[in-house]
Amino acid sequence: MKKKLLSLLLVTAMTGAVALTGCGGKDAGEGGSGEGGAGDQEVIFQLTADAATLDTIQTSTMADQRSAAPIYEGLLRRQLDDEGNLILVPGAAESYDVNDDETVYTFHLQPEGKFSDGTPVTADDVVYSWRRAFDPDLASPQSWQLQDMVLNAKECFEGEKPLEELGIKAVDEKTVEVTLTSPNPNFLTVLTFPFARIVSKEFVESKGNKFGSSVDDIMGSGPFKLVQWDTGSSMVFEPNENYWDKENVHLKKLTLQVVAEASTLAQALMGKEIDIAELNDTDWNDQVDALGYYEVTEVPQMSTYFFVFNCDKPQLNNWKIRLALALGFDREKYNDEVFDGKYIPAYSFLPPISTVGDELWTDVGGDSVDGLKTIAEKYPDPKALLIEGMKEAGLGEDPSALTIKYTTLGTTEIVKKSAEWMKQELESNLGINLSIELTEWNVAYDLIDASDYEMAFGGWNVDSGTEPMRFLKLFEQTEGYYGGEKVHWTGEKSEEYSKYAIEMQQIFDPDRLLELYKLAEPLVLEEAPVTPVYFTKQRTLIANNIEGYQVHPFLLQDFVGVKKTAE
Amino acid sequence: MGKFILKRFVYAVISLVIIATVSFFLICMKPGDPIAAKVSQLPESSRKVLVVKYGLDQPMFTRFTEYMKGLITEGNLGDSIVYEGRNVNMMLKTSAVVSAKIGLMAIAIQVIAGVLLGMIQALYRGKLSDQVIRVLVVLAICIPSFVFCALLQYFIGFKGQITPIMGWGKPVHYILPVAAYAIPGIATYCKYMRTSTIGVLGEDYILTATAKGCSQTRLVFKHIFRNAILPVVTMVPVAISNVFAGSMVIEKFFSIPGMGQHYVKAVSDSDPYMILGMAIFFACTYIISLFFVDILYGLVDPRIRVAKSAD
Repeated sequence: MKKKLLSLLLVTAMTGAVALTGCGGKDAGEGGSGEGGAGDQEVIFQLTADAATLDTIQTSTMADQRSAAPIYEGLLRRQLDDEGNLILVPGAAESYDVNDDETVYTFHLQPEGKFSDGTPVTADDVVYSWRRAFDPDLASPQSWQLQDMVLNAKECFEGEKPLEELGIKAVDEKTVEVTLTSPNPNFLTVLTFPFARIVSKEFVESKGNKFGSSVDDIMGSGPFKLVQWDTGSSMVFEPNENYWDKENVHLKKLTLQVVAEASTLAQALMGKEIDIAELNDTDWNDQVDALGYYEVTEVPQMSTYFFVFNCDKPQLNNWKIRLALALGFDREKYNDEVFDGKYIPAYSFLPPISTVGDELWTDVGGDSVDGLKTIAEKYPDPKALLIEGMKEAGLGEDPSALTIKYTTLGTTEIVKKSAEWMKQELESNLGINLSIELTEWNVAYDLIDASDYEMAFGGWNVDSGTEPMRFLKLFEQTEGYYGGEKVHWTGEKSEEYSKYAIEMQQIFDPDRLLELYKLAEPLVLEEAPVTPVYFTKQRTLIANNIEGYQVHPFLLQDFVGVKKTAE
Repeated sequence: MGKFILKRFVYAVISLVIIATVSFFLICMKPGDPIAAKVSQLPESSRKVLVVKYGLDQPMFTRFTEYMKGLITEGNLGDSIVYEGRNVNMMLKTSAVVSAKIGLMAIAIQVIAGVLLGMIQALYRGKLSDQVIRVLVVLAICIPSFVFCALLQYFIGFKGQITPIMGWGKPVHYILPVAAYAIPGIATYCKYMRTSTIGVLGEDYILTATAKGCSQTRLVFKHIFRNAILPVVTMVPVAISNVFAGSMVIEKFFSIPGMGQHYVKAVSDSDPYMILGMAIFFACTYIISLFFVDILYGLVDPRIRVAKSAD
């Protein structure tokens, strides 16, 4: 009896298994037909990670923000103009007025603005959305970006004042008034950030803390609505038929596909399974480019990597020695030989997309744009400079007697390769000894914090603004991240630099700012407590039949105006 | 039999309570702050509000009893602190189902292919087929699964254009991940099957059957197969219990919305109730599978049942 039961069990298991495998086989045949005809207005866009939440005020990662961008709309939107500059265009607000002292902004909402369920976007919704952003119980990770601008925002966020006192009020059903603490030219830009976008009061209140966590709990007034979300895999959007500017929404279906592995992505691109992606992997770039199916756009990011010298160490106390090290290697060669040209060699701390007022830094910066090149012309022989510095510092005249310890940032293969390249280059050009200490990145940061290093590697990324100040403030000697006790840059020039760096954080006048940048940067480049090495860039691949997709490191695409053309 | 099942049930409950308790206190002592994982630039006052909101200011024991109360009365396995609105129950409903589908298909393939290959190896022991399969088995066991993922993707998805390279939603998307999941398991089952078949071949009853003039087919299916497969059968429930956890590597390679990624993410974020809820769920499935293994053993091998009831 028992044996029979067992046989029955086995037979069932086997039949089940056969049936299941049978299914697999049949599906394989169906799948071979391939996908992706042109003119279907379906676009597949790649993300490297899945969004964690689509609650506007809780979004924090790039994946969150990119996924939220098509669903929610802010009072204003950002776009690139014909010259490739980021400009502000109407979003949920049709227009705005500002009072004479630039502290009160009145926004007039789109008369036709509606959420995807058809309910109108009202001033109350805007007020509610912003109050959520400063509600201490909800604790938005991003709203600090507005908290010093909007009246009482900081106090509300810290629970010192009730949310009703936040500097935003509904004047009538379609008019919102925002009061600032003081005039601020960055205010309008921040309105485009996801945390400041508009949600429906009625909808959010009905969802409670589930808002933003799954398809049924997400609704906005942006050009698209989310219709499917397979966490960790993909998101599918369809047009919001109630969007005020629906004439410019051409796509019928938009898919954000999560692809984390570079090899998977490259093969998917070569199989034309993805329309828009970011791929910067030297193992694959050429193969994908050779296909000719994608237009490659490379834009620099606001991200600079640099060497840090500990000026407190006797070998590095003299600026001539530091500058000799800074000039002692070829940045182009370094980028080509170590990174296969993946980055942009840096001769300044300010990435090429930095802006001063409305102008690009590269257009108005003059000699300072590639500041280190100008300095290199002044000191054509780094080795002679080094020996001079050594004499001044009482270290003798023999460069081979000078040993500098290089603490790496990480222990991966590429870090090793890079350190070995640098050792060879500096030793042959300058005649010094570079001893490499392979160090885990978190340990390296601890060593820099404790000033227990000689030469180290650092980097800085900015993901919201293009002002050079964001980098130059790092080396300011009282509060800068790479200042004070970490780097020990002292002396007259250091003090002068700090004075400029502090002033540039307090003013908004572009002419004075440009002056300050031009005064400050050469000081840090020549004294070289830190020296720039490379900038990173974003490499976007767009299928040839996609039109209207704009690339900028800060631009969160809402896919308005993007369409597929028949090839 | 009833008494045996009852006893196992009581043991299972005790094990679960111990697992939940130990995991909870281990997780609480782990360095890393879930609120820091959620937000790093919060004003101190807002941080305090959050700490109170999630009860992180309460003593560990109070938090534990609160959690257990929620678990027993509402069946709530735990809410995420890092991702507002997400909870373990939701993850199980969506992601674990995906992982389970892939895993179950893979296990079915593993058992069938593994058993067949193992029997072929044993029956043709020392012959060429045995040697070839043995080499393949060693390879399949030694090579890490991400290598299979990459190879399958390249040869079947990219070069062969037979399946999509990655993605989810259509039946065709199952093929590559199921294959990648199945390969190492096929090798394991094959190894077990070979050993156990060789063992059976040496038994006296096989000699008796052969001497009686039993036909080759009958001998293989009636006498060898049925006895040799027993150890393999008892491995299956444990394998099934593991499928819910998914595989992070395979999910990442093929962009599959499975469970593996959530588990790894919860641990790296130090998201306490998520880790705990998943740990309890996985422990449950494991314990249940062991329970089935015990019953299966009892069914398939009377000697074990006799020994158990003699206790």
